[in-house]
Amino acid sequence: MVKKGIADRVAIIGCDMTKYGELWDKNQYDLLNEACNLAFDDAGVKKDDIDASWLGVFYYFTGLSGALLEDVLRMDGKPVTRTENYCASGMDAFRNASFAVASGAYDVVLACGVEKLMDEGSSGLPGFKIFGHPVLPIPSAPAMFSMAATKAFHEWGWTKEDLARVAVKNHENGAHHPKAHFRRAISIDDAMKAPMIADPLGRFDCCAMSDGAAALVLTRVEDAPSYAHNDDYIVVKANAISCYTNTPWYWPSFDFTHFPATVKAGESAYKEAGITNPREQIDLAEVHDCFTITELINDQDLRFCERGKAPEELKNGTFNWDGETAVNPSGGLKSFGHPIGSTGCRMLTEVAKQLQGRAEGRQVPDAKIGLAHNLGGAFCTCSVSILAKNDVKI
Amino acid sequence: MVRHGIKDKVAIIGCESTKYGELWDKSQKDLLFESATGACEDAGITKDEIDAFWLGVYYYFTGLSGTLLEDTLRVHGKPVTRTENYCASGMDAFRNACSAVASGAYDVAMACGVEKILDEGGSGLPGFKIFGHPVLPLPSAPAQFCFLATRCFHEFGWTREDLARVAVKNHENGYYHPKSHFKFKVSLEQALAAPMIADPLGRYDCCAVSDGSAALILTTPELAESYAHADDYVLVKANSISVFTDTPWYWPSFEFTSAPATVTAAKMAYKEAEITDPRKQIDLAEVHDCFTITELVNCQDLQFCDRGKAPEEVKKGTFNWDGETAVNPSGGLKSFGHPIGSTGCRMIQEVTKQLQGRAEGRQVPNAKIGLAHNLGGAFAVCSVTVLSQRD
Repeated sequence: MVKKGIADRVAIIGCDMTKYGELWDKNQYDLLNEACNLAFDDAGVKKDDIDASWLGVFYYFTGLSGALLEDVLRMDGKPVTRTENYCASGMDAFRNASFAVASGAYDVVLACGVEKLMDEGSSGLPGFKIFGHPVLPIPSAPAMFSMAATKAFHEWGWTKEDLARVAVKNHENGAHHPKAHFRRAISIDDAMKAPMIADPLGRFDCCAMSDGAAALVLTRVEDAPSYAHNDDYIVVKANAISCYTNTPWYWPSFDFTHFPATVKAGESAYKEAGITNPREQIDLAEVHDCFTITELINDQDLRFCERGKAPEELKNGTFNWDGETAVNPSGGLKSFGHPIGSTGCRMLTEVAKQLQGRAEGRQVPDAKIGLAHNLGGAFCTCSVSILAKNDVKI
Repeated sequence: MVRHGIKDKVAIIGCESTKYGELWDKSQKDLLFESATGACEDAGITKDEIDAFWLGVYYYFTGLSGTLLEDTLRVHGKPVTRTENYCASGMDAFRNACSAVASGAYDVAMACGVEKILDEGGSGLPGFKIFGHPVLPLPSAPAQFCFLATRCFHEFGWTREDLARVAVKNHENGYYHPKSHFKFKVSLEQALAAPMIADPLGRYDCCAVSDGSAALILTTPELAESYAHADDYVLVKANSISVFTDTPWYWPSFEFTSAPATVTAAKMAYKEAEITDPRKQIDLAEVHDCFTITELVNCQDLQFCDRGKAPEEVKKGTFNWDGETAVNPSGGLKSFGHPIGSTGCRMIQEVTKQLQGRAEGRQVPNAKIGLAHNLGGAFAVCSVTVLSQRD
């Protein structure tokens, strides 16, 4: 478990993301080039100032090894590590970059992520036939998460309308975000009537296929005042990763209504950051809403509300952009889609900009402490990072 | 560039590797379990004492994400990161684990690697058809490295015999290693008479397809005193990674007689470790001999000898297990094969045991400082790690 962590030692001095969408005219090199250069501009650094880089990429067809980044930026043989951890790939790149900076090995580092899904020709996330049951077909992502929905319906009486409310909130938020893939609000009715993908998840319950990239520049807190964001650099309070079994359906005690990986990563991050009351202390959270059901469960697993109560809190407005704990004020994966390797970095970028008061069109009021969360694989791999304004003591 | 590095901030307190070979009856989980629990035993700890894990795996079909390790060991939700960096995947897992320990975030970390290639059904390394030229077929690994050979033949006058001498040396070393895949000696004539794979690389110039796994346990030097290897834990002096283009054939200045990634990674590592005369100061090196030509080029790029002179030095015995700079005293990839994600960790484990005087059957005399090196992709990614005895 995290013993001491790296709270208050690492700062984000610049970050940015590309527009997300069906970017047919951009390949992974274009996207990384754009995100990284925007991040450099934001930090007021040049690419030659970067000592080492970390790259989150999930699919081998997006790119292998650190060479993908080298072939984009041309960094003269500097170190580049590729991290892969299902949907937590990007946030794990950030986490490892944080350790490297905190250890003193390097001064200024880059953490970025990208995925190029649109050329794969499939209508959902390409799966890997290698794994899984020797006889049963490998479940798609919606199929896996639909099981969480049916179980939650059974356990707590949640309804399709509860799910639809998440979609409505997130699309409403996304409509205000200049870089979202989808920028159109929808109604509950739209969501309820949408074609079914994997019962009870309909089209608006599932996030879309998308391309995109995001990047962040990190340094140690004591050096952060020398860069462009000298007053409002962001401080990293915690980085947690938690891995559980990739085959939870063989685990008799797995109840499909909470994800141990999120619970554990959340606990670890809160401990590292010194957070004792997540609901009160976390002002905004970008959580992994690959499906509407996932967001509701995340809210509970991250202790923003009690188990079973997420739809109620949603109805009360607790999770609105101006609610007690804004959840996915950016519009989430619902509005951005999920270019897997990039999502963690996009969320961290989003939270950083919110904390800096730069979240044009969707600024969460008084944002001081923010959280980013990813959950991947068969609910098995979770990353949670907590960021704060640099004058916040927890 | 490496600014300050992590020299002397990390100690290896336990390590182990599986036997390498065509392990039809073992899955990647069996292999990872064996090396990971072996490393824990060596360190005198239980798996529950480990705070975080790093796993080097190259092929997606071996396993995705950290869950391969979780499903093997049951770490109950602790952090596991998978690193992928071509042939440097395992050593990069080690490097990131070192940063985390050096930063103080965790007390005890594990770095491990595994690859399960024998079930893939191909006779060489499975390639990825996605990359490369839109028209020309993707070159196989031997095909890529044969360019190095023909170019060195042209530039330096090297011959097939020079390459064969590397195979002879490494198979001779591997013969004595209890865990190597191949335990036979090869004569110069046999190596020269072997069937051609990618001219001028014949069968004995190419490392084999293999399965295997290796693991290491890391902590700080202060804490290292409390574990089983309190007297002889090994210190990490440097970890470097260098990444260059994945398509060097489009790079007009690429000479094919040297790998810029190795030259750069070596410089960074030597700077971090404060090594000024590699040939003298490095007692042993496990270098990436995916092909015999690669070992020769590595020796030059790592500054063990002048450019063009590597075959001469091999002939003189400089790189023998008891020579001035023992190169691949384990027998290298030639004897172990190359389960990609595991190789970096296996090399670090090998160097560690050498420095601890535990290299049964192939002990390099007076081994104080050792180096491990990997080179992967289209000569694109290089990792170099330097280790030393604790004093």
